Amino acid sequence: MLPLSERTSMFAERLRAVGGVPYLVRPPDLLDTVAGLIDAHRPVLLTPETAWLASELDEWGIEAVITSAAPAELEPALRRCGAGVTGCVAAAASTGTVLVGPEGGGGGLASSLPERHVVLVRESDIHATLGEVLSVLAERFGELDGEAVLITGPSRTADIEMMSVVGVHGPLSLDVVIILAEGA
Amino acid sequence: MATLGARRALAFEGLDFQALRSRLRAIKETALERNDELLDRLVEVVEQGGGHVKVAATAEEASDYVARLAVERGVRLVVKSKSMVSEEVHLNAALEAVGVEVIETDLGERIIQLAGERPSHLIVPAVHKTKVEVIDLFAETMGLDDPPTEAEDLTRLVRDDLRERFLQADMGVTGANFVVAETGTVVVVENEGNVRLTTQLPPIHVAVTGREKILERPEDVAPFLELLPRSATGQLLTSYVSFITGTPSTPPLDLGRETGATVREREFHLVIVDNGRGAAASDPELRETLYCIRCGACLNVCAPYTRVGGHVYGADPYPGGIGCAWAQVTGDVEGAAHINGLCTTCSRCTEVCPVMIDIPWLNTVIRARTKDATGMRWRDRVFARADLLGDVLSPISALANPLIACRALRAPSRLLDIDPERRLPRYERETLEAWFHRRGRARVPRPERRVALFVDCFVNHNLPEVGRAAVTTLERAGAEVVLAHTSCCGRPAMSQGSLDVARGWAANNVEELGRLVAEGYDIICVEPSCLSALRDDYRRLLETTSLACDERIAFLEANVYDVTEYLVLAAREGWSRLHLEPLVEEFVVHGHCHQKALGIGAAPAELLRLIPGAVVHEVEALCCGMVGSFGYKAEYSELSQALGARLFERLNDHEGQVVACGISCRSQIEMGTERTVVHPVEVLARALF
Repeated sequence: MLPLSERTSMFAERLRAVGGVPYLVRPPDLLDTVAGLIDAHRPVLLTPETAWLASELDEWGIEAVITSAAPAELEPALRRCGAGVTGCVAAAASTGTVLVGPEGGGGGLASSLPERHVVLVRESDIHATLGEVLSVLAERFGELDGEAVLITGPSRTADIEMMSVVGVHGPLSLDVVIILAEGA
Repeated sequence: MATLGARRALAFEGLDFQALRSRLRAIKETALERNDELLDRLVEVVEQGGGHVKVAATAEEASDYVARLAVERGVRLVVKSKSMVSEEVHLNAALEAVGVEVIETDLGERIIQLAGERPSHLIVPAVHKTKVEVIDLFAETMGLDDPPTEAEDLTRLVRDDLRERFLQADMGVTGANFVVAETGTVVVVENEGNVRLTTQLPPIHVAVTGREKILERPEDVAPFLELLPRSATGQLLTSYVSFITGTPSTPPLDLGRETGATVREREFHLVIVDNGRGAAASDPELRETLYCIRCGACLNVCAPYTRVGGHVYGADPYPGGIGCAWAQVTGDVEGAAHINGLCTTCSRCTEVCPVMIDIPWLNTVIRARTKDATGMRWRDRVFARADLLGDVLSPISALANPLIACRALRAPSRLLDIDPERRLPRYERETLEAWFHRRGRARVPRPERRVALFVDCFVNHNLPEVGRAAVTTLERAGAEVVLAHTSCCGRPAMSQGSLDVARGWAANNVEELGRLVAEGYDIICVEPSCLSALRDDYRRLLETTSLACDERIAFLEANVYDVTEYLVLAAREGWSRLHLEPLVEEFVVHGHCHQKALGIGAAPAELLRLIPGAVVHEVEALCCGMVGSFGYKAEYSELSQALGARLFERLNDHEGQVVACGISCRSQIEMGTERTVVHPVEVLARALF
């Protein structure tokens, strides 16, 4: 059983290898980090799970729309939003993968539409292997309302002459903010 | 930029590939056996969850269903992610015929859609297009005077162009990599993010897939996720793996669709396509086609495919050797027959297939069925009987050899559709058998081992010197040697699709060699293609006969060796009595494809390194392109030489003696490099003390 700190290091390394960016923060620094990442990409899409950020971001002057909002409010934002912030059910250190659930009614929009996707991960939710994360998925399948996605890095393609390009239809960047355990 | 091979090697580091792919194979076998039951369960679960399932017996039924659904719901615009099955059932054409606009959203698929072409690879459908062609295509179709020139910018162009389409679409169509019966979940892997948008934005999601994709439980998907991305693209995991059950929880979005469709409710439709798969599941010879997870790893190591591409070596929409099998399964028998000859049965694909499909065997079976249906041409009948050729031409070799070598045979060659530049090899008057009989059995005092040499048609009639060197070397190593009296191994017959003839011989050989093994003999082959017939193909060849599961087949598999492999093992195990004099010479070694497929590709070079002073170079693993009769056939000879071109270059990078096993590689390399080629045992024989 890999100790948490080793899992966290491996996760960060593997995430970088697939083009994602890890941020290790203590809880008090969380808001500043998130705001810094999305400031230039407003408005931001939040899910019910990350909705608590809305009032805080408001103080930064960053407009936030929750994906569970009424269509009349949500729909106009979908074309304008530059960033999405979601939570995460579990993460795999071996591959740098995050398991994102249905986002409480958001249907995955926050993690797929905007150019920037920011994921908040509790350090204690980082597992060593992809296999463990898939077990979590299998166990919690019913509760996850049948919607889940494993995300490993930003969107990419090699369809043009096998040249690797980052950023296609999905997000161009993936920022993973790892909230370190208390006393770490 | 790392080559595909290097990326693959890195991705597979630390992974027990054999164990993992055996596991995947087992999961697929069980799931297919229970396919009817799992399908019933899947339908029940999806419908209970409010979704709709259409089990389509034929391609037409599948595309009709989707087209009618579109009409009923007033759908005007469909966005689509990559789905081979949707191409198989011509879904786009069916939708367009009822006035629906279909936009392919996968970048590669979008490129070929704009170009009006068909996919040429399973994973990178537009791989045949250069960047310049793509620039010109976008300029023309999007009306750009000054198109971008970098791949990033071209990609961005498509992102922006398609974003509005995603938001406006009434229906999204995807494929599925796996379907889980227990939960009614569709699992889709992708890198671009277009699948996610396709399934979440439009109110109607239609997933089209083949019934062979059904697995029982979510847990069954996990091991596939370990091998599929690594095999397909050398990635540990794709950017996105979506688990979709029913409809997303967001209410349907109304993003100001210009289409004016009155779509309000979210709907999920699962179209499960049969189109020949059910019948194939009951066909013991073709069944394993259905285990295919469409990773494309086979294509990446296929010499003919990488040379000619998927538009030539493909039965729309499925490319390559596995494509021939898919065409046969889905009823495109003509398409399958058309490309079947391009599978050389070199077996390099079997080394990388994550579900252990014997693609060359599938192609051999299809070859046999095609021959049964359309008859066998004279040329191929001749090629199937290498044994007869030898029996006829050796005794009259003094007459035959000059004739073979002279130009007089060019006209008859052309009549038979044999490349007139290709010559049959020399025939020797004294066959290996005759020599052995004349010499008598050599006495080996207190033999370490007893071996029976499998006398193949070529070493017997054309290269008895290789056979003599093999016998001498084995005897000096301490093995008592007898010759096995067997029929032709059947490889030439199998290559031409004459499986009944091959089965008869195989049955004889299993009996004769089984007897020898029971008496304590190890069986030695000099010709690697014969070895692979005995060790790799007999099990499949005999599975439809009374010898199926006969334990003698397993005994044979466990006790038959390549002569180079055997001598290396003898040295490693410490019983070899070979004393080798120094030969301070340079050698450059080419590995036979069948040796590599059997995992003994390193043996020839290792054997040569036993000689003190020998400097041994190995060239990278490449196919010489000859592959038995393939290179002789007029329609393939040029391709055969093109396939070998890279190998000839690599060999010519080195001075020294070219060393290769097998008569095909020998003739091909001699023709392509104009240098002589010898078998490793011929070198060892020179170094014998």
